[in-house]
Amino acid sequence: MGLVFNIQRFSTRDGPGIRTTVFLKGCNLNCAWCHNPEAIAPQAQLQFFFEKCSQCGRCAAACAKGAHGFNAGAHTFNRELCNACGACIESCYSDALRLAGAEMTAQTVIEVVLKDKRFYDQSGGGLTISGGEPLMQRGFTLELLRAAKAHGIHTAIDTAALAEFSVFEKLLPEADLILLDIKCMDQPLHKRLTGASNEIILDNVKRLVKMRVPLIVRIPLIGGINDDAQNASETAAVLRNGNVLKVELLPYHSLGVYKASSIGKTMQKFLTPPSERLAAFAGHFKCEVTY
Amino acid sequence: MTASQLMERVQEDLRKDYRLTFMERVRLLLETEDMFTDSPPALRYASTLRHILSGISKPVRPDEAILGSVNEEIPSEEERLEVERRYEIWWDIPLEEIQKKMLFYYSDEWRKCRAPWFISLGHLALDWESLIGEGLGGLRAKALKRLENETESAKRSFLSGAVQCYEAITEYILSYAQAAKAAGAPLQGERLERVASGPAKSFADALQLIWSVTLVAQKVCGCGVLNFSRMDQYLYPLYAQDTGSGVLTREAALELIREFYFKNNEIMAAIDHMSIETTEVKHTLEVTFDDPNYLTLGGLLPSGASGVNELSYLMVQAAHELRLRNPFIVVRYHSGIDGRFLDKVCAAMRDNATLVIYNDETMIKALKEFGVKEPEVYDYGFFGCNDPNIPAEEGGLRQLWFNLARPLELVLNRGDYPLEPKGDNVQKDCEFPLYDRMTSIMRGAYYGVDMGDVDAISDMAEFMRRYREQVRYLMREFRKGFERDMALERSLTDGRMRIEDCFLRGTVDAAKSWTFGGTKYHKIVNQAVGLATVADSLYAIEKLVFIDKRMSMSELAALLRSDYAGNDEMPLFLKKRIDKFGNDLDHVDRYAAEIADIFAGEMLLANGPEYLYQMWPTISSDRAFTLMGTFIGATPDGRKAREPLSENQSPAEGMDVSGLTALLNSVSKLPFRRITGGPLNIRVHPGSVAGEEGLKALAALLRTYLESGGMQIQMNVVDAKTLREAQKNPDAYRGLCVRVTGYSAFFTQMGKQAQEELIRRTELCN
Repeated sequence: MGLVFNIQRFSTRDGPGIRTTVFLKGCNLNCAWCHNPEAIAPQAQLQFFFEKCSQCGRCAAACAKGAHGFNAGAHTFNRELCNACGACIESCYSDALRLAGAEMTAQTVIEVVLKDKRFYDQSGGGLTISGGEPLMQRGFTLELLRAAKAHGIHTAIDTAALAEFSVFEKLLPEADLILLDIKCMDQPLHKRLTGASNEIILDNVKRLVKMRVPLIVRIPLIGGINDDAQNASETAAVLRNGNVLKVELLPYHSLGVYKASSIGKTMQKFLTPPSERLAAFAGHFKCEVTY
Repeated sequence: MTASQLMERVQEDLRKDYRLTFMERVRLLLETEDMFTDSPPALRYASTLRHILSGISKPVRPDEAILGSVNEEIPSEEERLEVERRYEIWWDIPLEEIQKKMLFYYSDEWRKCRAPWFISLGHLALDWESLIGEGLGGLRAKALKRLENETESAKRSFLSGAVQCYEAITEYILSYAQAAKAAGAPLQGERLERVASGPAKSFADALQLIWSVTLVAQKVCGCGVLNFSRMDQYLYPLYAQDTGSGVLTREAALELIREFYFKNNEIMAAIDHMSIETTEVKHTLEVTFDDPNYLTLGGLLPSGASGVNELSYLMVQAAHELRLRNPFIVVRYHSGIDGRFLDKVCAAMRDNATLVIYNDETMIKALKEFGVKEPEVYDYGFFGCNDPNIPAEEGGLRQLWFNLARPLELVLNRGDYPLEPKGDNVQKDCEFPLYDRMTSIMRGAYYGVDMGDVDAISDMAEFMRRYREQVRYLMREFRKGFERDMALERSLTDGRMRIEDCFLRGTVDAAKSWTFGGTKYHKIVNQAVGLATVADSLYAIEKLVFIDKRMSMSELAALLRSDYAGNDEMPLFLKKRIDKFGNDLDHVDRYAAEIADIFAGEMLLANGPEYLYQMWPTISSDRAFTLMGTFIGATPDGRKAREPLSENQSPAEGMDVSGLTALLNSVSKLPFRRITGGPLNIRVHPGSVAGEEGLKALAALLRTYLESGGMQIQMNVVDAKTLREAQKNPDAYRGLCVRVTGYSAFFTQMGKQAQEELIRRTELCN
C-alpha cells in the first residue's frame, strides 16, 4: 500500500510526451517556497478550503470526532481532533473539503495509469512518480515502476535525491528517466530554507552525473534567494559531463501559500524572478534550458 | 496581394461596423416585388436574380488578384425601419401559408430577410468540379439541350429558369470584367472574361470562377454556409499544371488562397447570428448574416490512397496565418495520414485557427450504414453546423434536433410531460406540431407511450427497453409529420427553381429541384441533443434505485416532477457524489454508448426505401442545448427543471474532472461507426501544449483519440478571458486544468489570489 495524494492524467510537463503523474505523500525536505505543502507530512491530512464552505453543517454531523463546528455562522475546524477518516468529505457538496493522502494498492494505481497507455504509446509518454518525495515510499515506488515496466510503459521519478545512494541503485534499473530537483548549491542556505543539508543530495547528483543516468534537472527559482549567477554557475558545474537532457527553470509562484492555509499552515511569500533573471540563469548551462 | 497587404485588410475588416449592409441588393430586391409577377416561379426567380445582378456595383481594387466584392453602406434608421416593415408584411401570414412559401426548413431570423419569390437557403455543396471543368457556358448548353427535349410545362419553366440564371451570372461576370479594365486591372479583367462562360484554364481562373459564383449564390441569392468540399482535390490538377509549367509559384498560389479566404470573410456581417437576442442580429437586413463556408482537406480517396497533397499543406498554412472565421476547414483524418501534415494541422489548431478534424475511419462506415454509396461516400464533407454532406449529390437543411431527454421523461412519467401534464382533452394527430417541424426544435409538450407502473421496472435493462420504445414512438411521429409536409410541399414544388438547382448533380437532367428527387440523395440530419445529461441521469437511476436502493422509481419520478421541491441537498448530492460521463468510467460511459446506439438503430427503423428522405444521425446540439433545456423538467443527474442540457458530445458542464485523456477515452466509447457527424469541443490550456514538445503532445492526443474510434475533435486553447469566466462560474469549469509553471492544477481549486496571478500571467503571455 502507498499513500497517494493525487493522480494527474494528461500531464505534459513531467517528462516527455503525455504522462500520468502519481503524487506520493510525504517529503524529507520542507522548502519554504513549496508549491505542494499538502504533500509534505507523511500521513493523510484533511484540506479545508474555508472560502468554498457553504455553511451547510453536514460535515459536523458526519464527523465522529467532533472536529467540525459551527458557531454563529462560522465553520471552525479543530485539526487536533481530526484523524483524516474522510467521512466529512463525502458529506460536503461544495468542494470545501479534500483528503490529501489516500491509501492505495499499486494494483489500483496501475489500473488508472494503464487507462491512458494508448496516449503514452502515441506520444512517447508514460508514468511519472512525483511527490512529496517518492523515495520516502521507496517500496511502493519500486512496485509501481516494476508494474509499469511489465506493461511496457516508460517510467520516470521526480526526486530531490535526499536518500542513501543504495535506494537509487535499486530504483535505477526500473526508471527510464530521473527528474532531478536541485534547490541550491549553498549548503547553509539549503539547510535554512529546506530544513536539510544538501551534502547527501549533491553526492547523489554527482554519482548520477558520473553514471550518465538520463536526467531532466528542475530548479525552482526564488527571487533573491537562489536566482543568482553563482548558484547558476555552480549548478552548471555539477552537471557538466552528465547525461542532462534538459534543465527546467521553475519560477516561483504563490499557489503553495493558498494550499498551505488549507492544512492550517502559514507560509512566507517569495518573489518571482523577472524574465531577464531567468534568461541570465539559463545562460550558464550548455544544454537545453526551458522556463 | 502580399501577405502583409492582406493582413492590413484583415485588420481593417475586424473593425467593420455591424450596421454595414449590402443595401443595393435590398433596394433592387424590393423593386422586383411588383415585377415579373406573371412569370412562372422559376422564371420570376431568374428574372429577379438578373435584375439585382445588373443593378449592383462591381467594385474593383486593382491590388486584388481575385475580384468580386459588394458595396456596403449603413442605412439610415428610417430606411432600415422601412425595409423591416416590407419584410414583415411578406411574412405576416398564417404558419400554414409560410410553409407553402418556404417549402423548407427555416428559422424566424432567416426568414425575415428572404423575399417569398426569391428564396434560397444554401447549406449544401455546389458541383464545383463541373463548374470549373465545364464553365457556366457548358452548364447552360446542357440545360438548353435538355430543354429542347422537354415538353412538360413545369419542367420547361424549371429548365428555362436555370438557363436564365446561368446567363445572368455570365453577364454579371462580363460586366465585372469591364469594370476591372476601366479601373486599371487588365489582367483581372481578362481572367473574368475567360471564366464568364468558359471553363477554368488555370488555378487562378478556378478560384476566380468559384468566387464569382459564390458571391452570387451566397450574398445575392442567400445560400448560406456553402460547402466548398474537397478543394485540395479538385483544384490540384490545375495547380500541378500551373506549377509544372512555371506560370505559378508555390508562394503565388499561397497568395491566391489567402485572398480567397479573405474574400469569404469580407462578405460576412460583423455579427454573431446565434446571438439572436442582440441588437446586431435583430437589426440586420443581411440575407446570410455571418455564415461561414466549409472546406474539406485531406482524407481517403476511393482507391484507399491518401488525398493529402501540396495544396492541402498550402490551404492549412493560409488558414494558420490568417486565423479567420471563414472558411471553416474540415481536415479528414485516416490511419496512415502523413504525420507532418497532421503536425501542421495541430499547430494551426493550437493557435485557434478555424480547423477541425473528422475521422474517415468512422465517418465512411457510418455514412454507408445510412445508405451512401461508393465512390461518393469518399467525398463526404460538411456544411454549418457540422452537418454531413455528400457534395453536389444532396443538400439543404432538413433537420431535427432530437431531444434525448424527452424519452427519459416519458419513461419516468408513463408517457406524460411533467411540465404540462396531459389532460383528457389533449388530442394530437402528430406529436410534432408544424412550427416544430419547420424550425426543427421540439418545443413545449410532447407525450409518449404509457408503459405502465414505473415500479414494475425491475432493472436497468427493462428501463432501457422502455427508453428505446419512447425513442421509437417519437421517431415515428416525426416521420409521420415529415411525410405529411412532403406531400404538401411536393404538390407545390413543380416548376419552381432556385439557384441551388443550377449547380447540383442530376437536377438539370431530371428537371427537378434538389428538394424533390433531383439529386441522388435526400437527407434529414437528425441531431441528438443532451447525450451526457441523459447518460448521467441513467447512471444516477441505476445507483439510486437499484444499487443503493435509496428510493423507488416512483419516488424518484415524483421528486423530479416536484423539481426537487423542499430538497436542496438532493440535486447537489446527485451532481457531486454520483459518477458522471466524461471521466473514463465504464459503468457510466456505457449508458452514453447505449443511448447513441438506440438513437441510430431506431432511426434506421424509421428510414426505408419507401421514403425519399432518409434520416442521418449526428450527435450535435449546436447552441440549442440551452433552449432545449428550457422544455425539460428536472433530471436525475441533479439538473433542475429548465436548466441547459449537455452540449454536443461533451460531458455535462463542469462534470469532467479527470483530465483530457479521461474525457477522450469516455467519448471514444460511443458507437461512432454509426454516427454521421457532430462536434466534440474541448478546451485546452495554452500552457499544456506550448513549445515543440507541447505540439507533439497535442498531435499525439488527437491521434490517439481518433485511432481509438473518436469521430471529430475541435478545441479552444483558452485564454485569460475564459479564466475570468471560470472565476465567476467555477462549477461550470471544474475540469479546467491549468499549467502553473512546471506542473498543473485545476483552476477552480486554486485560490482567488493564485487565480489572479495566473490570469495576469495568461494575459501577459497573450
